Amino acid sequence: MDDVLETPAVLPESTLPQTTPDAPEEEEDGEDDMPDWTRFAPQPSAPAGSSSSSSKPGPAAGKKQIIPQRGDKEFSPSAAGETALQSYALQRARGAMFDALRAGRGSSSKNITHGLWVPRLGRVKVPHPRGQYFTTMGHFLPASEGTIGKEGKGVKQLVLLPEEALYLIERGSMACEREMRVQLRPPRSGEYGGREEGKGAGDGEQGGEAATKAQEEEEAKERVESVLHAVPMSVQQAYAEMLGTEGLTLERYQVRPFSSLSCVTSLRPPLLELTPASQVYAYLRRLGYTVTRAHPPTSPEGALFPRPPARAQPTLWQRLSAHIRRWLVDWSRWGQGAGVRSGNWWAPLRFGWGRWTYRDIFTALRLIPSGHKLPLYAPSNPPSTQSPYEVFFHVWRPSTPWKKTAVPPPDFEVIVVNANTTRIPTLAELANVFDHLPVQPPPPPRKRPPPSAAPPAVTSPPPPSLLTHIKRLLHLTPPPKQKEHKVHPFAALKAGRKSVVLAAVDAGSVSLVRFSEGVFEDWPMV
Amino acid sequence: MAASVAGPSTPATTAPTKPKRRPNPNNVIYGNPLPILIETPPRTPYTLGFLPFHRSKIINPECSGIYDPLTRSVWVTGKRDVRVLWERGFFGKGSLSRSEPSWLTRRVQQLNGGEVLTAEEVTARRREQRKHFKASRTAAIQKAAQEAEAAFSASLESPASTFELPLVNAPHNVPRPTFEAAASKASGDGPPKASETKEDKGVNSEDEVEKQLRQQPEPLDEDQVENMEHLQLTLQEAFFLAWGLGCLRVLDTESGQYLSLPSLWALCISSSASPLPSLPPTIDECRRPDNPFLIHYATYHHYRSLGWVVRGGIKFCVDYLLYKRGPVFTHAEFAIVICPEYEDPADAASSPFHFQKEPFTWTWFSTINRVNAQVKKTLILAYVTIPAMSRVTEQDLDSPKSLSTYSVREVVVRRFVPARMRD
Repeated sequence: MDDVLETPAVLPESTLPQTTPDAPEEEEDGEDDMPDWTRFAPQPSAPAGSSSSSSKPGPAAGKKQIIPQRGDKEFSPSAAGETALQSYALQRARGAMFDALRAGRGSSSKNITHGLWVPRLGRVKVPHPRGQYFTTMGHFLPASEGTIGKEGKGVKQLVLLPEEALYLIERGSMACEREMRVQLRPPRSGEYGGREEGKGAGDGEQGGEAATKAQEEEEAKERVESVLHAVPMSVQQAYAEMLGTEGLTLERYQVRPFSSLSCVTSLRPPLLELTPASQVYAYLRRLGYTVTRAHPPTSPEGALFPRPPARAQPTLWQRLSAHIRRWLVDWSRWGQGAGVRSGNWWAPLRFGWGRWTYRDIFTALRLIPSGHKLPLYAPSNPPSTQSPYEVFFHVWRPSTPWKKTAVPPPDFEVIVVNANTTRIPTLAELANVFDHLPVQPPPPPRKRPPPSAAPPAVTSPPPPSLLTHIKRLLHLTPPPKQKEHKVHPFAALKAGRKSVVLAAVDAGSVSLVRFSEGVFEDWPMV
Repeated sequence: MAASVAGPSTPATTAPTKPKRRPNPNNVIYGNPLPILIETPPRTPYTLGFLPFHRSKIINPECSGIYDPLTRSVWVTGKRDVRVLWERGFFGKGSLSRSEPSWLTRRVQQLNGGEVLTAEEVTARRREQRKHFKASRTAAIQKAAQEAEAAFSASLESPASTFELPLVNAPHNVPRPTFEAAASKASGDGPPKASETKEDKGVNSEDEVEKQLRQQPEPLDEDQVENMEHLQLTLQEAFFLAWGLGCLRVLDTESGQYLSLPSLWALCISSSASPLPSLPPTIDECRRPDNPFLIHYATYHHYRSLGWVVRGGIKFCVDYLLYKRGPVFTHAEFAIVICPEYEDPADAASSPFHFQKEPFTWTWFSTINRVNAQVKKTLILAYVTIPAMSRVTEQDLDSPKSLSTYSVREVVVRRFVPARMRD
């Protein structure tokens, strides 16, 4: 096993880089893949005798702060070979990268949280959370579930999901240890002296239904007679264990929460499912987003998983009135081209009496049923395989206020798929996703420079009359909106009615696209 | 438009602040969205609109075309028909032009030695200007790099002097030749500015042609030059014009007769069903709801009926491009990819057509998305459902009635860049 364990070294506060966690303000461009290492370079003095660039008669760097810009790349040396300036710049950039990477990584001991990886639970317990991460990470388990230490009953236990723990371990904010139970009892024949309790539990689950109870009793006895050990974990070990490659037990515990991603869970190696999800998690998390699972993973009874409030189901009357309104709109649209429409399929237009315009002709030609409001044809034998397209993460912008006790509705819903094994979604898969998404508000008007003129006088609308009040009570008229702005048709068409973010992950690179329900039938051009 | 709507009192107030906009001649030339014209007598205050003598009248241009089995397209050769179909709705494409049939104009200009630009010539000229611009930019960058090099070597010789690494700001702080300057230099004494600014747009060059022709001592007329170009319509366009609007007749070269609508329908379906024009498809292949013509026509008709100008999008890896009003006015805003969806998966297994074997992988998708993001078009996946064969009768497939069993649903695709959407 790895002897050099990745307990973050404790450094004095002064040498720490002054970047706040979860706030990469300097990252402005999403497409900038390569960091500019010169910005990390220790300014005053490079480590002695290390970099080749420092051997040069030093052109003094860092006298004036230059804000780096993206410009044209010098992608090849000059025709006559590398010039002195080019090689100097190259050396400088390379030296900066080496210096940045060589610097000891660490964080203040005050900020390091200690966690305990409990393979049996598939969670990392955090007895003493430190830092601001835990306002948006982790959830609570009732204390009875595998208490550690001296915590009494009734105290809730903060636990982290594997992806949350991995994120913290990787960024050096958490020192993680692994729970191990060592038996004091002399071993039975054919067994190891110290055996992982987790494995035993896994075997027990594998066994038949009848044997389960006896197994459980035995486990309970073992649990009493074993001594709890906590062994520090390296990052590699954390990855290996938490991504579920070690044993069957871990695999089962790990995979179960992710089963929504896979069609047949037991047939696929769990790494395939977990890896894309955790990559997307880390990617969004590093940008400061708040990310939680859309569907709480299987957890013990009483677990408090932060969830956004359920969307209010429309009442029967609301649904009915929406139907009627929809029907009226359809009918009025249909009526628009009525003067020109013929029932004959061989001659769709019939120019009868009256006045009509091009708009009537176009309306009369709308013969192809369209729009997501049409019911999908239900096949007689629907495919039994589970769709890989299910909302997996709820994501909130960094600026959205977020509390575990009062989770706002998510800003984005993210589906994670493996780009190599899935195809773009079928209509049925998309319809299934869109069915569970809220309708978006219309897009805001394009931002224009504020006019220099005085702001228009605020005219308060007249108080609603009795009739409108009654109508509003009956949901016949929508409630008055604050500011009715005119939506540009293209903006409305591009925004769509509902949207979901798809993260297609191909071997570590994440491609994010937004799929929205189109509303072309609502915005004709004529 | 706006001025005519506004009352007579408004111009007095707005006139001092806003310069009067010149009316765009394109609004007149391309004012009709469809080849058929509507003639509505003005509404008089003392009669009612529904009275018989105030009904709208249709003016059908009665265009005609020839079906060409080899290219599976319909050729329109009549000069008037070509103009009508292009100017009212942007149907078809000039066989020797990029889009607007402008070969004859170009040819006449060439023979007259004139200097009036067609859309193709504008593009060629712009490319030339761009080349000039890039060359001068490269030269400027090289000059700046040499200066930086000199400064660097000077700083090496005298260590006391400080040197700021110019690389972070060298190339893009170079005073660059502006594109405008290069453009005006290259193009000489001003071609029509309006034609230059908009890419991919047909140029209304008729006025210039006339002006030009008047200046020539013995100008050739367009009638004196044989027109080698025709307008070619895709089968979807031809069927839309013939069936939907009833303003096109298609001549069959074999029989020498104009095709009736049922035979045109059958012709469109059968010619789309076989991979080779010489290999007629079996009747079973034609009687399938997943015939490529039907799927494409349903999509084409859907967007046409919504008022979009629909044109082919093969240059952008997509099936169709949607223009608001037309390519003369704006760039295409949306790029449509047809994603056929079988209602009954069993139909897909038995299909003789190859399009459903399209990959629809994420690699394929990213390619298309990338290309269209580059040209600032929004990608639309148009999911067209193919009715299950069990619910479509053969009689249905023999008439356009079957079109009502298809349905179109759009999915709008946009990039999601988390780093730019943080607040």
